[in-house]
Amino acid sequence: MENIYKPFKSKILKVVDQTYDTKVFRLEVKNFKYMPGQFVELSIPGVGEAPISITSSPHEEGYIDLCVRRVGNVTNALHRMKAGDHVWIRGPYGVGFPFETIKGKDIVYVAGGIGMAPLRSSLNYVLHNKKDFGKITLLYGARTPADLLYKDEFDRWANECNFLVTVDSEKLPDGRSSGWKGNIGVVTTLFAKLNYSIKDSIGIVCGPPAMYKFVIQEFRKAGMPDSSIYLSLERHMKCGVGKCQHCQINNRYVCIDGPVFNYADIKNLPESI
Amino acid sequence: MTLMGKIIKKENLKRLFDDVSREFKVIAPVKKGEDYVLSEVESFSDVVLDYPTTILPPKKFLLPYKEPIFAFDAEGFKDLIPDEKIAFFGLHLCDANAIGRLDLVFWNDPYYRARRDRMLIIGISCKPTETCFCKSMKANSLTNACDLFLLAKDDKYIGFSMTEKGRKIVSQLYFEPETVNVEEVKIEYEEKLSLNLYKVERKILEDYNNPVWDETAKKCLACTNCTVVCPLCYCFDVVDETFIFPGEGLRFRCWDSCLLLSFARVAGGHNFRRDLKARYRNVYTHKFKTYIDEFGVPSCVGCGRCIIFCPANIDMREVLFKLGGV
Repeated sequence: MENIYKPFKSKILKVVDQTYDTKVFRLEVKNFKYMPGQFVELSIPGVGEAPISITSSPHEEGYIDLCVRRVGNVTNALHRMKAGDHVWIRGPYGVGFPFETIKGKDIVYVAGGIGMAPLRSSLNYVLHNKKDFGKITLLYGARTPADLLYKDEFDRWANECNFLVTVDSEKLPDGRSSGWKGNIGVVTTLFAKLNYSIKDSIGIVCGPPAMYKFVIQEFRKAGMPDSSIYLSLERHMKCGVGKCQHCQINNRYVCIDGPVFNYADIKNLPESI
Repeated sequence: MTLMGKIIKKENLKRLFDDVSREFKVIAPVKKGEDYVLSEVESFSDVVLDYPTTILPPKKFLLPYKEPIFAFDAEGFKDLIPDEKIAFFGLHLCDANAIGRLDLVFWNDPYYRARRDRMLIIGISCKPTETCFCKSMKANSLTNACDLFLLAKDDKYIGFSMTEKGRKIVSQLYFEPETVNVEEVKIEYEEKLSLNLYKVERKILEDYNNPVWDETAKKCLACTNCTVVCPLCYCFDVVDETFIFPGEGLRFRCWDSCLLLSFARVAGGHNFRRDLKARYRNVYTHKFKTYIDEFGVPSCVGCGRCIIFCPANIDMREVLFKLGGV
């Protein structure tokens, strides 16, 4: 009988520093099929296992990228590892972004903080298949300029879609001024800067727990129906296979039914956002 | 459906026990202080077949509280699939039904399944106590989680075989040759509170802010006694422990409880169920909504352990009654 909890060995091909607390780890995989929005369980023997979303796009083959902020035991241990080291992974798990149902549509991505990690997978996949989609918008907010991820992709995103970025504060985490000249304010302030209707667009959201309801308000104000909104939710999926109960939200499992949910399906589900 | 039973005299139960213990590690009810527990037994004289609910349910043998699932070293993870052969000798129908309901969740779990495939379950009839509510939870009738069920009848037992393993046993000579036919095997009694499961299931999310959650959560100590003694609370955590050399050790699966503050916490510190009220309600939404949605039955068999062992005297039946009425 197949052991559903058994991870396989994967070599770290590359580690790229993103910010003072976030790195991207490129892991070698073979015949690994996944969709944007799905996650893996990453093991470091002796430290433990943690669910991490995939940040690379399925059109990139032979590896997956995991964008990891240093916040817990596993992620701290991972941050001490380097190219050539090994980790163990299993997955992919969960339901990702609905690529087929959103084909042909305009898409508005709203990312907050580390929520950029799973959204980037979908964004780059959609941009790679740009002919199948309408207008693509990316609204991205981070705490400070030092917290912005994927700065090396900003130029490409600005070329290929309507990309707006903001920071909550222009001050760096140590209190110094960053000299940031761009937008300042929470991510929802970017909606006012859109000079076109997003009523018929698909909204895709991932960010810190407090962000969702404010972004949904903006989408609703713009006339977008709830069924056009997709949320990627965060929970601590310990098993990834619907058993351990850690990611249960009443009668849904984030690891099986999500992490990507259609907002119309969960808007009456207590404790979901 | 007519069930065909075969009689076994009380004095022959020892022969049955000895036969079983030759092949299996036998787990049976025994007396421990003032209480009863399910424990490994070697001699039939230690077994108490006329017993009230045990402290811990059979899950302690199916999903041990801290079970090594992998040994790891630099080479990777090695499965630690158990190969023990366990026989339960004398489970009440609530506990046997609980195993049947655990099967629904863990049938594709290699550790649970390995034990289950090698397992023999012999059920026995019981005398319901005042904390029992198996009828309301539809767990008072014979289940094919039992390989064999022994129904007490005067000074004899009628043995009903539910599986091939059970049929082999009743073909032994210590069962009488003639058969007894019955329509069904069911524990019938008057419940202290009769509950409407359908209504509870429907109302639990609809009536999310019912005052019963505030009232009860105020009494609850979040001690997790109820989830520990529950035959169907199976939440788990996974932890690694290393030996002297870092990178070598064991990965364990351990019992967890959704009543604990840390249960729904995510990296970075946000907690989706910080309030005890939300955590307390979660026990019920899982048992009487999520699980029913998934499997058609509640993840509760009405064994009453949560009532017996609650230090705050919370009675789950009363909570359900306030929620769903009769």
